[in-house]
Amino acid sequence: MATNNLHMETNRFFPRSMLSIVRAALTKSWWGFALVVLTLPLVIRILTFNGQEIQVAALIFIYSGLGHIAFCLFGSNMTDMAVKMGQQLTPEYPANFISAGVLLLAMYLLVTIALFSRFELIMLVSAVATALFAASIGLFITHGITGLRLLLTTAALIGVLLIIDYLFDNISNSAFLYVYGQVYFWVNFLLVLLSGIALYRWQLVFNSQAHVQTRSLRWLNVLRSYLDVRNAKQVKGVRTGYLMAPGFLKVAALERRPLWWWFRFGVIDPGALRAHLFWYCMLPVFVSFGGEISLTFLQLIAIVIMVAFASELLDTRDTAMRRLYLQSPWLSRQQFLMELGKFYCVAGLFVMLAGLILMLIGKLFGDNDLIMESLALGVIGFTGITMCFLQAQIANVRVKVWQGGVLIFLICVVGILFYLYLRFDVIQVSQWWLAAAALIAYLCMCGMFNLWSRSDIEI
Amino acid sequence: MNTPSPAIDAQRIEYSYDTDKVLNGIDLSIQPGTIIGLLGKNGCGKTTLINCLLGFLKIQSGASSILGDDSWDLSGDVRQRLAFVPQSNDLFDWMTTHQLVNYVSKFYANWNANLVNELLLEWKVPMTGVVREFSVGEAQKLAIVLAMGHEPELLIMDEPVAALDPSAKRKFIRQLIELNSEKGNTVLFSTHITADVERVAADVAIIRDGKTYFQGPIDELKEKVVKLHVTGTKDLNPLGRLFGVAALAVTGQEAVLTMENYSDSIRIQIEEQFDATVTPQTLGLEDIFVELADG
Repeated sequence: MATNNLHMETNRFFPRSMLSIVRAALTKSWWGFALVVLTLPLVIRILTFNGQEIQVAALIFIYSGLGHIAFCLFGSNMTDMAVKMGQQLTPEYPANFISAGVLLLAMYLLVTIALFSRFELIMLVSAVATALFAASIGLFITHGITGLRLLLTTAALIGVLLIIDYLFDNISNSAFLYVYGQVYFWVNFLLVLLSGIALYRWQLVFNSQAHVQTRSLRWLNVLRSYLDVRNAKQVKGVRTGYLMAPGFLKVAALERRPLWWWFRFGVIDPGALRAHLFWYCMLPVFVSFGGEISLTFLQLIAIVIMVAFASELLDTRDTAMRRLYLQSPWLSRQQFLMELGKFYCVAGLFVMLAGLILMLIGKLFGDNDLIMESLALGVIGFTGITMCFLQAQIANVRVKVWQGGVLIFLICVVGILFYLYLRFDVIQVSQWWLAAAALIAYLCMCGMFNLWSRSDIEI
Repeated sequence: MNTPSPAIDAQRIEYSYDTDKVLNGIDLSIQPGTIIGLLGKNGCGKTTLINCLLGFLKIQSGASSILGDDSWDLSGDVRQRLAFVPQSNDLFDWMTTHQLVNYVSKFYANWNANLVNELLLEWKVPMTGVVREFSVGEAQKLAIVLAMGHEPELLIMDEPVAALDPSAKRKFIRQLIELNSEKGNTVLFSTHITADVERVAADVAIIRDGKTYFQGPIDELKEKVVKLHVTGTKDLNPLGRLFGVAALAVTGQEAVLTMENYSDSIRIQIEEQFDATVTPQTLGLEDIFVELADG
């Protein structure tokens, strides 16, 4: 009987499971969350925009491009869920995947209409046509056809420009140039980077250094995986979205690295790392919307990222830590915890460096100040959260998830308020005082790790 | 002749999560070379007990040692001699099998690469693709292979085969235990699937209400917990007042009761006191588990 029921479910195009799949596609990953947050400035821009045709076309182009990325992500989440539910209509497409895709596209269609309805009819039609085209291609790429994804993505974006061209009377070139003009520095930087890698590879091939050829390919894989948003389960044997792949880090060289270096495997979830890297990459695009507000927004985001990253570091992967502890017989319990502490401190430096780079990127797009102050606020927030959690562990107090969340939220709010007070000259604090405070806070955090490692900390 | 010191020795261990007391005075003493299944209902504290034994959690009362070392302060020597396979997959899922083996092997001086390769082949662990592409069962097999690579004297596994299908489970667990018994290793594995224990372990420890209800050979448990079919002429309801009755069902002149501390003297006592005929029925481990859990 059960088999028969399953059969009936299999042959339905709109099974109830489709709703679960849609929900999972929207909420399943960090990626989705990051994408939604990143899209918000664009939505606000669309809602408040009163510009020329070229600028509207540029907005439609960016909107469709982001829609394409979003549906690559949703598609991989959907496939994952559809496969888990185990119902397949044909070898290629599970029925619930198709119906969930249709539902998701319908939702996207309604959002697009809502966003662009205030423009002229031709603009609305262009937005709907390009967005749905790009989204459909994005969805299609994530299931089945994987080898041609880069080509299909490029083709989709060219297709978007062609539709814009058709509906706007040959405007796509201007629209593209408008977008490019806003983010030209970033695009040029990427092109120079790619050229450098190509030259390096060419030089290796020219010198017939076959063993280095592998290494150079590895770098290309890293670069490719960095742009690949699909779920790895859909592309067996291909790394997706993980910069910290062990091949890149050369696992065989374990003995040459200090132990804390290897603790990264235990404490950082590559998924979270990937999401943060994505933020760093995409934010300059939004800075392209120009003006002081965008730069302020960028600095605020940098502060929040620095503060929030502390929670990523402190959210240790328990069982992995336990395995590492058992695997490190040459370290006492205290020494093991101290190595862990060293890793946190060094990783903290990387987080701060990333925050600084983000703000410096922002500086390339406009004349912003308060860089030192923003960095100091980020560092103080990061160390503050870390020390609160360490103190709780030393005192053997279990911090519940919601309590940790509230703490992080409060420290972020305080940091943001402090920044805004500085920005609008409500308070005036020398940047050097703030820098000194950040340095002292960081040193205190390092010292507290020493105390922490000597306490009875459960692993 | 000296008795060897126990591989695992836990005395009156207590542990609470906030106000929830999970372990309430557990005793466990496991001699070297024993293969023992740790049984208990979901949420009864099996994982917490293992975490306390391995020193991940600090026991709040009592004492615990592993291979002679205090659990909270395991020496490097002891940590080299033991291995642990957790309930949830803790493998770094972006590594391939080869990379993981390479990575873990670097931590151990006595890594047996031949054994690992044999087991990987024998248990059909995928050698291509990264771990996150594996099925749960494949990842679990890999975790166990990695735990056995340094040939530990003591292997502790928390529900190691829960993810395997019945046929694979049977074959896999039999090989696993054979391999360890050949070398005289101690194996403690927790599960709530009684068939796993019955199939491979000679000994069993049952946790109930935060305490060790029973620890010893399975046969001894089967002799101890017995179902009695009683037929008599008197009222049989007072049978429930006897010491050690876990469950009682009376229907007219017939009663079925489960005794936790059965002996012939109890049978004789019932026969004389109730003028009844008593027929003992030996229970399988699963039935015992169910009777005790419901009781």
